[in-house]
Formats: sequence, C-alpha cells, structure tokens
Amino acid sequence: MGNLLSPLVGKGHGRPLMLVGVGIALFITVMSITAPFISPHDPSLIGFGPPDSPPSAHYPFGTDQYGRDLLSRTIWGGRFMLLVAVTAVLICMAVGLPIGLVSAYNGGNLDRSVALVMDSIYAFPSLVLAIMIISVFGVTIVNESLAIAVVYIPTYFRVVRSQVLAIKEMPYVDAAKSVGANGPAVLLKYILPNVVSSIVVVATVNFADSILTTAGLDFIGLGLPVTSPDWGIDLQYGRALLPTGEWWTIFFSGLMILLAALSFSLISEGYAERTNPKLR
Amino acid sequence: MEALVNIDGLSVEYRTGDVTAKAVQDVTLELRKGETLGLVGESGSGKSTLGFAVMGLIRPPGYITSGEITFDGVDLRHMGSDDLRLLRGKKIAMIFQDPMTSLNPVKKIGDHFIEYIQAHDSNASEQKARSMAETVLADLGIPGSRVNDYPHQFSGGMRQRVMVGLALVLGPSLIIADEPTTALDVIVEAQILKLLKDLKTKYSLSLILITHNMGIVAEMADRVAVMYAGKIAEVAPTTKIFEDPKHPYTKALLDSIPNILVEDKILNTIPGSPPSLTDPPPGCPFHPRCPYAFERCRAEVPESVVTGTDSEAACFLLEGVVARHSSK
Amino acid sequence: MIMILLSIVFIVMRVLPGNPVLLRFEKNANPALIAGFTHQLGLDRPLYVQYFDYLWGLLHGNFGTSMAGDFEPVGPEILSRFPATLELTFYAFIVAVAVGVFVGAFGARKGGAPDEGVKVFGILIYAFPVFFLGMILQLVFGIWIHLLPVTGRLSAGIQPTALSIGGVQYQTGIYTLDSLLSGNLTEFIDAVKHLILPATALGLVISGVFVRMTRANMMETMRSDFVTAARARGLKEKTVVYSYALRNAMLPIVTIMGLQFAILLSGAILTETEFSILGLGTYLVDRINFRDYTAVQGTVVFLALLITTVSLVVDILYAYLDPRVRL
Repeated sequence: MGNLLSPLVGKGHGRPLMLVGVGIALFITVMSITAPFISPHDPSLIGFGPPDSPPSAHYPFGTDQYGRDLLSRTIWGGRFMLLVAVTAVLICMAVGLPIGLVSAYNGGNLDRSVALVMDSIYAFPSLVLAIMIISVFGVTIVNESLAIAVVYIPTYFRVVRSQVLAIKEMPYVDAAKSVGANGPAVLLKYILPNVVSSIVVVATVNFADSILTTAGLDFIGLGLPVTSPDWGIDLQYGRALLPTGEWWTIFFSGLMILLAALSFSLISEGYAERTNPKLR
Repeated sequence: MEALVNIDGLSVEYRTGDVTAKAVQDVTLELRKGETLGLVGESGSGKSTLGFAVMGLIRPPGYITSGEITFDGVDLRHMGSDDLRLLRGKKIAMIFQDPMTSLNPVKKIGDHFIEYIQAHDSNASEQKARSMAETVLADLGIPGSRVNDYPHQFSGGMRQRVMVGLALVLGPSLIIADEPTTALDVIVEAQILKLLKDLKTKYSLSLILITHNMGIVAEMADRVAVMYAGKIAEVAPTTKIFEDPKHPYTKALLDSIPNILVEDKILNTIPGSPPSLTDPPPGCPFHPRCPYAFERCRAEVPESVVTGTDSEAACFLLEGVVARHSSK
Repeated sequence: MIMILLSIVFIVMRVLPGNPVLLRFEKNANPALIAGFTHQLGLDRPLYVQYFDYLWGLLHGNFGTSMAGDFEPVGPEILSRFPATLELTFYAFIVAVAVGVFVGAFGARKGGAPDEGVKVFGILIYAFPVFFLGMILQLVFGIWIHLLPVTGRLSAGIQPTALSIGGVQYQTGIYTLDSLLSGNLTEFIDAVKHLILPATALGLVISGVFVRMTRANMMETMRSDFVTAARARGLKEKTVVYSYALRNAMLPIVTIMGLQFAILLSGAILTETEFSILGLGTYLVDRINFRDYTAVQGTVVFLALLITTVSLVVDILYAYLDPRVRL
C-alpha cells in the first residue's frame, strides 16, 4: 500500500499536477457525500424560486426553468455519476485483472482467443456500446456501471496481460518455480506487485472516462429519470434555454463534470509521470 | 604545421533542472592541418562534447560558458548562426557513432545526399547532386543502384560507409569522427578505419578521432589528447604517449590494456570510478584514484605543463618545468 | 475480428433481451399484436437461423427491419443519415489532427513553461464533455455574438444542390462536397458556417490525445541521432524539425488514428444531439427513444463496420508512410 501512495510525496516532476487533481477530486467527493447536509435547499423542489433567474445573492447559481435552485442541484448532481464511476472501476478490476492475469499466465490458444475478443471490444466506441446495453436493459446504477465496465475491461486486460507476458519470462520467475512455487503463488507474489502501479493509472483514467460517458448518457436521455438532480440532466434541460442567453443553467453543471473528469485525469497523468521515468 | 582548429580555455556545461554538469572545463587544444588527432577518454570525459563544440552543435540545455574556438582563423563562437550552419557540414563534417540510428528512416539514401547538397548550394540541380552522391558512394564501395534504398535495407557497416560518404561529399577540410567504429564488429571496424586512412590521404583531410579505444589511436593517430573529467590530462605524439606516458591517468589507462604477450593472472584496473560532473572534487580531478596523489593535488587544479617537444601534461609531479600558459 | 464485433452486437441486442418486441410494448398490450409483430420481424425463428440471416443480410446490405409502424428496412434510412455524420467527423478529425500536431510539436520544441502549458492543455481539453464545449461555443459565438449559426446544417431557405451530369443527379449528401461540385458557392459557405462550431467542439476535445502523443514523440525524436546528424550537416533548423523530427514522430500517431475514430464517433453522437444535426448519432438516439430495437441494432452494426473499414484504411496508410513496413 505504501508503494501505491509513495508517488504522492517527495520532490519531482508530476507532483503539482497530481496534487491539484487529488485536491479537486477530494473536494467533489466530499461535496457529493455531504450533499444532504450542505445543500442550502431541496434540489428537486419545483417552483421554489422565480424561474429563469440569473445568479444573485439569493440564488448564487441562479434558478432553472422550473424555479429550482441551481446551487443545490449542483451540489447534489455528482452523486449518481460518482457512484457509477466507482462501481464501474471496481467491476473492471474485479473482472479484468483476474482474466488478464490468468489468461496471460497460461498463455496458448486460449489466451490468444481471449485477447482477440478483448481487442474487438476495445475497438468499439464506448458510448455506442453503453447505449446498446442501456437501451436494452434499462437504467439503474448497476446497469450503467456494467455498461461502462464492459467497455473498459479490455484496457485492464491488455495492460495486465502485457506486464504478465513480460515478467513471465524473467529468470526470477523460473527460479521461484524451480523451488516449487506453483502458479497462483507466482502470480500473486511476483507479478501482481509489478502490475499495481499501471493499474492505478488505468483506473484513474477509467474513472474520468466513466464520468464523461455517464454525463453523455444522461445528456441524451438514457440516464436517470428526469427528476433526479444530476449534472448531465441539467445540461440536457438547460440546453433549451440557451437561445435566450441563460448561461447559468448549463454552466455550473458542465463545469463540475469537467472538473470531475479533469481531476482524475490529472491524478492519472501525474502518477504516470512519477512512476515512469521515461515520461519526464 | 599550422593549426586548423584552435580551442582556447573552452568550458561547456549542461544545465538540467537544478543540477549543472561541467562537461568540459577550461580546455586548450589545437588541431594541426593534415594531422589525425586522437581524442581519448572514458565515457563522460567530455570528448564528444568537445567534438560537438567545434561543430557548433552545443544547444540548450548545453551552454558554452567560456573560451574561444577558431577554425582556419575564423572565430566560431561569435559567428552568426546562419554562417555557422553553412560552415557546418561544408568545411567541418561529423561522423557519428551508431550507424543504425544516424540516418533518417523514412528518407532514401540518395535523398539524404540531395537534400544536403542543395542545402549548401541552392543552385545545384537534383541531377548534379545525385551524380555527386553516386560518385562518393562508389568510392566507398556502394553501388549506385542502391541510392534509392532506405537505411533499413543496409547493413551496419554499409550504413557507416554512407555516413562517411555524407561527410566527404562536400569536400570538408576537417572531419570529426565520434567513436565511428564502436557500434561495429571488429572486421567491419578494420575496414572503416582503413577507409578513413585512405580517404584522409586522398582528400588531404584533417581528422579528429574521438574514441575510448587505445588500439585505434595507436593505429590511426599522429597525436593523442587524453581527457579526464572534462579536462585535458595529457597531449603528446602517439609514439611518445605509448612509450613514455607522463600523466598518472594515461599510465593507468595503458597499464589496464591486457598484453597478449605477457601472461597476466590479474587484470589491472583503475580503482574507484570517474568523478561526478555535477559535483566534482576539488583540486585535480584524478586525485581520488591516483596512486601518486599528495596534499597539493587535493587542493589545487594542476595547469598543463610542457614535458617535451609537442607534449604537455597536467600534473603536479611534473613541476620544475616551465608552465605553458606564461607564453600566452 | 469483424465477426466478433458483429456477434457481440447480435448477442447484446438480440439474444440477451429475449424478445425485443416485448420491450417495446407495455406489459399489458394485446398478445396478438405482440405475436404479429414478432412474426413480421422474423423474431420467432430459432436463434441460429436469425444469426445466419443477420450475417447473410449484412452481406447484401440489409441492416434489418424497423420496428416502427410500417416495417421499413433500416438500411436506406441509415444511408440517408450517414453523410451528415461523415462530414462532421471528417472536419472534426482535421481540426483534431491539425491542432494536436501543431500544439504538441510547439510544446516539444519550446520546452519550459510553454511546454507545461501544452501538457495541461492536452489533459484539460480531453476532459471536456464535448456537448458542454459545444454549448459554450454556441453561447459565445452564436448567441452573445451573432457570428455563427448554432444548429442544423443549412440555413432555412437554402436547399442542398447536386451535381447534374446529363440530367442525372449525383448527390453524396455531404453538403460541402455537393455544393462545390454543383458550383453553388452560397450553399457551400452556408454549410461551412454551420460546420464550424460543431467540428471545432468535437475536434478540440479529440485533439487532446494527439497533443499529448505528438509532444511525447517529438521530445523523444528531437533527441535522436539522426536529428543531430542532420544538424551536423548544416541543414536548416526548419528542415530538421519538420522533415526529420516531426515526420518520424508522427508515425506512431497514425497507428492510433483508427482507435481515435471510434472515440470520434462517440463524440459525434453527442455533438449531433447538441447541434441538432440530423446524422446517424441523432438517428440512433431517436430510435432508442422510440424503442425501435431492430433499427438500433442495424445502426450499431453499421457503425461497427464503418470503424473496421477505417482501421483497415489506416493500416494501409501506415504502410505507405513507413518504408520499414512496406517490404
């Protein structure tokens, strides 16, 4: 565990980037978790305030066409997306890692076949695949997470597989086997630790991507039911108001999506730079 | 013999982040017309950097911090960058170490030449450039038909010949060869060295041969300059250096070459490792590894001292002889 | 690999949900109606028969039958919507590559602060939800400053024209192309104006990847021996940077272009929705809202085939660009 977090400390190149990313991510997470306590008003309350009013002292982020307070909606809006992202990443790791490890370690035709299938999914546009799955199965947190996870599992698989293939041939693995270490032991003890830092990079990118995909799905109407506060949905409905110049309905929600995705991208980039000297 | 290149008090450093590496420190050296000067040293001794400095190829993060370089009487340091660029490649040419990576993979060999020739003579037609290329390559044993091939279609030895061809085609007066045979096997190495020797005579060239291999130096060089940690340790005619090395480092270097005639049980090595260029020790750079080091060596930097005709070395052991610098 | 892609689509759209007709209708709909629909669409046949029929049909350009109302074949509708998407992705791609390479190379050459800026730009722009960027552009350039149109492909009152040769109309559906072919400059300018905002939004977001890759590749290439050797020959710095460094740095980027195209398509769906462009993206979303699953299946299949074709073209292009691969 210490190894994982070590890039966070010490001097060096990618650190400011990573810290900014961690900072923003932490802020958003805390905001979303404490939403019920810090949100000034009920985000779903229609007719609470005068509709379509610009940011003011009373309503710092303004109100939407139904008179709902946008500040509250912005505070609440990330919950679904974050939940989906976390679930998706967990599913990916739970599925992608073992498959990658086992398949690559055993090698042979099975490995090649699995790799082929994975490559095919990898080539597929993520949003389209997610759309396909959601349209057929409906929208729940699990479904949306699954849809996104399916798209990303191949990435985990590939990263893990390339590491395993490289390490598998190393002399110290042979040495371990010659003194009687069996398959799973070798996997766990030698290969897994080396794979961990790559996984962190992939997971954070996965997280950022998941947020953007969820937002996209919400935007085209394949997300949550309309009444839940959600950044993507705010963008969908705020869109109609743009011609009148009402920028506040979309601005803050859009900004939050951007920040959420950005923060994890920064973490990913910073972490990669710190653990991979070639990138400096 | 008059000097073709005059290097006077040259210092070059590389600045990355917070650390500065002093690659070349206060080097004074000359190259005489028509001679082959062997520039010898370990990795990190500054010999390649010196070569680049003469070519005017020191770019950030590298900086020339002091000293003068003159070529054929022309001051290179204060030349305009465009003039310098035209001089480069025309009067002074360079041959690089690794033939596998010195050519543009997506350009045909012929195009390397044509582009190069036309860069220095905008009036040269493609026809003319192509025939110039073919002539030079023929001299080097490469058939003209191969001019349309790509680098990856040639072997290492042939690619190095192409590099030599590129170096010669515009008729320079000086060639700087930076470890030209290090990446080649011994048979090809012998061929390339012979080639260089023949071409040097044929075209009346001067040659700076940068290498860490004393064997090559013995065979090719008229004079030898030994560098250590960015400074000149010793300069002398080749036979002198081998028969009677004056600087402790040169002695140790020659001692460490196994002698095929003597049955050595143990290989001689120089204890310790080369000093850090970012945090050099005070005094003489070699003192931590020198078997003869004494108090003064740790405190002061030795200046070059004349040790005979055409010879000098920077070591306090040679005190008692007139210091070289007073003549300036 | 195409086979796997197509099979995946079939499995997700056809096998997993069971009978898509059921999804389309409410639970207490008339069973006879459902049965009738199912039969009309051939969905009551054994799965393996449907699978072969599906593949066989694709070979003949049959993308399935719509579940909406009159069981029209989906193919022609897809083809009529395709040009809009093609046009958008094409221009967006150009923007992405142009911006990506230019900015990336700039950062690699300058180093220091501008380089850090380029790095951050690459990350930042890619994290932008494309529809949000689209909205900002619409607001700024279309609504606050009335410079560019914000929706659609042509202004009201301008008709798409076609090239006429001997009385026969040749129309690709790509307005910028058609208008040039038919010599209608007004239409051309109008179409271009409509494309500027959406192509820029989509192109900018995608450029993030190209910026980062170009930058990384350039930094490495600038340090390589053949670049130093070229400088040693006294070649102009401009030649060295473009003909030697950039030309080689770009090669690996071509290899990812196929992958980027897939991402481009995802973005196109969102961009089309945002800018109300009637392309395949909006068609897909539309069909989903109508629960027309067979049409959705057909569209997704079409997109999969499109991506495969583009990947193939990219591979051929790469072989052309890198002589080491050719022989």
